Amino acid sequence: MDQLIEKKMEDLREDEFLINMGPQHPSTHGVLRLMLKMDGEFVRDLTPYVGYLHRSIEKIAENRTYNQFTPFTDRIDYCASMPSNQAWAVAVEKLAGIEVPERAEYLRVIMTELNRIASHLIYLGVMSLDLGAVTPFLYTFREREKVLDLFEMTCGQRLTYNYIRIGGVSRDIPSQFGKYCFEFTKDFRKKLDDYEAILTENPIFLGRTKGVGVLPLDIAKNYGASGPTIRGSNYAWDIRKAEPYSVYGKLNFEIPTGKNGDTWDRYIVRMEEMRQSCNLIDEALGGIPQSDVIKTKLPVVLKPPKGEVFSRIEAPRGEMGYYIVSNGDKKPYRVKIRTASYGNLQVLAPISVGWKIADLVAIFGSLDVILPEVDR
Amino acid sequence: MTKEEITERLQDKFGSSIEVAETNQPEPYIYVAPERYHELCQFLYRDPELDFDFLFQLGGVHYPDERSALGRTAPAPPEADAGRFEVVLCLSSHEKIHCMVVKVKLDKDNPEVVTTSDIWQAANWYEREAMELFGIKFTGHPDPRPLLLYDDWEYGFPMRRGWTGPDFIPMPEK
Repeated sequence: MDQLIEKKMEDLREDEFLINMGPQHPSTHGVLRLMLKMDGEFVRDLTPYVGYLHRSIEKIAENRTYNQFTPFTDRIDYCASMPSNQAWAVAVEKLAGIEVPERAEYLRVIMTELNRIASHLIYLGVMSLDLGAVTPFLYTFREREKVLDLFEMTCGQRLTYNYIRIGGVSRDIPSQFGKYCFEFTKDFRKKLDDYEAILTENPIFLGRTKGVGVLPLDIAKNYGASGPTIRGSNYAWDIRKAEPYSVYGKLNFEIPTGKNGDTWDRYIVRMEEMRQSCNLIDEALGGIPQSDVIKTKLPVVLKPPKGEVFSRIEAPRGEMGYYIVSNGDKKPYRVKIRTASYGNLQVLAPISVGWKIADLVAIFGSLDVILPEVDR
Repeated sequence: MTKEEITERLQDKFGSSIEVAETNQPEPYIYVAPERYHELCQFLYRDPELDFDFLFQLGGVHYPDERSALGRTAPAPPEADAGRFEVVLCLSSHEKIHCMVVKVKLDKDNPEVVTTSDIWQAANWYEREAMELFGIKFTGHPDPRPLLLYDDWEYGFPMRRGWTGPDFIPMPEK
């Protein structure tokens, strides 16, 4: 018997093997295929395959007028639909020199920050679900329901709003919005403390995320990472502070950063950002000017002047921006969409080499990549 | 640095190989000749005053003839200047907080330019996308596989103007 085992052990090989973390996988947050070259449990190399959700939005944009394209921008990142709308509106307004009324700017800030909270709640729920904690998932989606109620009250939609239009917003907030929103932010700060109590100092969570997947700053900058991914590496870079757009220049908020650039730091950055968003919403709601004008008067078919524009905003996942070429026509000539997750996903390959496959799930969850943004 | 300062610094170094586009945008838009494209990108990355360390995006644009670039109301273009591809880089700097746009004009029939993925690693995926959607070749690219289209795609380069493929129904003109 021992001789039989010894003989079998001679044939045993320790090679690298390929594992396919296929497009359908509960932890890849969408249709992402990862080809992993494994040495036992450790990842030696990683190749992402994307394109399963390519809907050729850039080609569609060449056949739609500027206003007809706004609903498509919702679907680029459906978890953060308001900032996606705003990125398009800001770009076209920069191209055509359109001024947005002040009440509309405040409304845009309120809606974008509410959507930032909703998006980070999805991140929190899904990441803790990936690590095995099921309870925060249900709690965060319960909070998110309140945000979606606010959105439904305003524009009738829960997920893809088509609310921030070129030149302003589509409709004003109803009279009971302010009361519900203040109640929500007051309640939400307490709930955030509860969620931190479950996760932040939890030894299991710390063991799985502290020191895991450290992202050095020069790799983050060179590979095009932005948003909380780069802020976790102790770098306070935020478009809302660096190149303020809308009324962010007038509002008070801070940019949270992490210290080491590991998975735990990126989690802490997003938790803090939710608190800062609550502050921004309270301040904007308190200071919103009373006015009837929520949208500039624009021609029904908008024809911006001939030229090009490049603009960007801070979406919840990072920097999102547009490069639009216009030739004076009613339809854009070329629209190039740059999304946050495109850069963040490229960072996955360098930082997850050498970690186990379970750590890969944690690292990927912390990058908060959403595949429709990558594939467009 | 302001738009004028950036353009002055680049014109000092590169002289006639670059052309400044007239725009009313706050960022400088620079056209560069394809031969000095890689050198310009390295200078933009390494120069301590300019310090463009972040490649925001890299995209291709297709102008099948000069008329489409000028618009329908423009007069008919001269015959000699007919069509080109362009590669557009949007760059930004984290420390200096300024942005610029670099554009390269490429040949209509054989668009080819050097890769910049050795300077900014972010260019890797953008160039793969431009390669498969426009057909622009980036020489020296470490990994020229298609990114977004599926493996047995055989219907040409979809983002080119005037492309038709199976199941492509153009919008009716109203």
